[in-house]
Amino acid sequence: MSDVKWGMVVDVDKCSGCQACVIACMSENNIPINLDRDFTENRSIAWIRVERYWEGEYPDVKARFLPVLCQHCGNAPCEPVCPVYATFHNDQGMNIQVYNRCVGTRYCANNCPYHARYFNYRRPTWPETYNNYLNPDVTVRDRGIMEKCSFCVQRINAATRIAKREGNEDAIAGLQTACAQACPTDALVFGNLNNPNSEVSQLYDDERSYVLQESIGTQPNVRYLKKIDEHAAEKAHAH
Amino acid sequence: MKNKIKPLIIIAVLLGIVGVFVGLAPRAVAFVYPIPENEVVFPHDFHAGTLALECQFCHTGAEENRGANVPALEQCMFCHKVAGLENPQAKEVRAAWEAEEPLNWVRQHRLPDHTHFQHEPHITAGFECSTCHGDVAGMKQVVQIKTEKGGDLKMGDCVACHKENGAPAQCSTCHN
Ligand code: SF4
Repeated sequence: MSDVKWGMVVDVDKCSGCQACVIACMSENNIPINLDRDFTENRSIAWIRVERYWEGEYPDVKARFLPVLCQHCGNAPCEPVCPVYATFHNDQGMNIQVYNRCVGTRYCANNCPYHARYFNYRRPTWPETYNNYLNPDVTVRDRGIMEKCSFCVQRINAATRIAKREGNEDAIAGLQTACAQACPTDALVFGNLNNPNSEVSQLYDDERSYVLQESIGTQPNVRYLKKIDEHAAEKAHAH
Repeated sequence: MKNKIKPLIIIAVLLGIVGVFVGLAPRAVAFVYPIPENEVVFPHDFHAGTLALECQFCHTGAEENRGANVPALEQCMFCHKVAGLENPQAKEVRAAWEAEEPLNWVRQHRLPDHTHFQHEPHITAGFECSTCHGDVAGMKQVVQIKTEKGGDLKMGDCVACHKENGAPAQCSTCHN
């Protein structure tokens, strides 16, 4: 399986800021429900978040959306600072978080330039009726544990098992993360970067492609495709 | 003074020797969850031993799924509508069925929440249930066993076996 390298391409031009990816991720990965105080204390948890930027002056104003998730860096700043190896790079290009190893130093989150890591400052609770909705394939993280986007590793494991049992790679080829599956505009594309025919590896080298904060050299496995502004030319003309 | 210390030393040495032997004695049982009184203890030795039923006749799902299910009462009634009518334990099973109350079996094999064991790949790879669960066909009441190498069915056992058989052994294989 080490001939697989998972990656994602986010087409900023297609993202409408609907947040379907955020909700899908939350329900797939048993992310606690954020309450008012979590937001006001800056302790809310969302493995993928949609950042919003305003551009221009009223009335000629535009909203820009940027979905940000763990970039699964090839040269990850979070990994070397963990004193207990609770986060490490696996042979499929993913940055893995091991909850039962984490001792909660929060060094990794402090070292993450993308703010993609989230700490459980409280024991998460759900209304009683929600207990049966939790995903049994994903550990519920307790207080004091660091967590972040896992590229839906439970889905990857399941697809790997099915592929092995059935002797073909169909399950792996059709694999999607929860966010990519939910995105109505296909702004998120997930797949195997080592397969030259996969959609993600074709978009990966697109001329619009860039990585977040390239200058710090984290070599992410998540790339972004630039926004195309069809009005850019006329705006430049008007000014 | 000396006379008082001497017997103490002898006792201490004897206790030490006994202790060493107790420590070295093979302990086949790793762990048992206590079963409350008056509960039905499922006689695995009869079903799996005398009757030689396949494990998966009752514990369905191990071939395709994560779990080898603890069977519902329906599965018991598959036979016990007609079988073992006089048996006192089977009578309790039927009584529970008629009262529409589930039987709360005490599971002996449990994993912590952060560990996601999957039965399917192990069964597909051809391992026998007894590799981990021991000779259930010979157990009056199921207990967790020590594995062949003396392990207690904890992560060390999993990792050793995974490495031996070339199975993936990185953290995210089971912990995610
Ligand atoms: S689901 Fe797709 S379109 Fe909606 S916010 Fe997420 S990335 Fe953007």
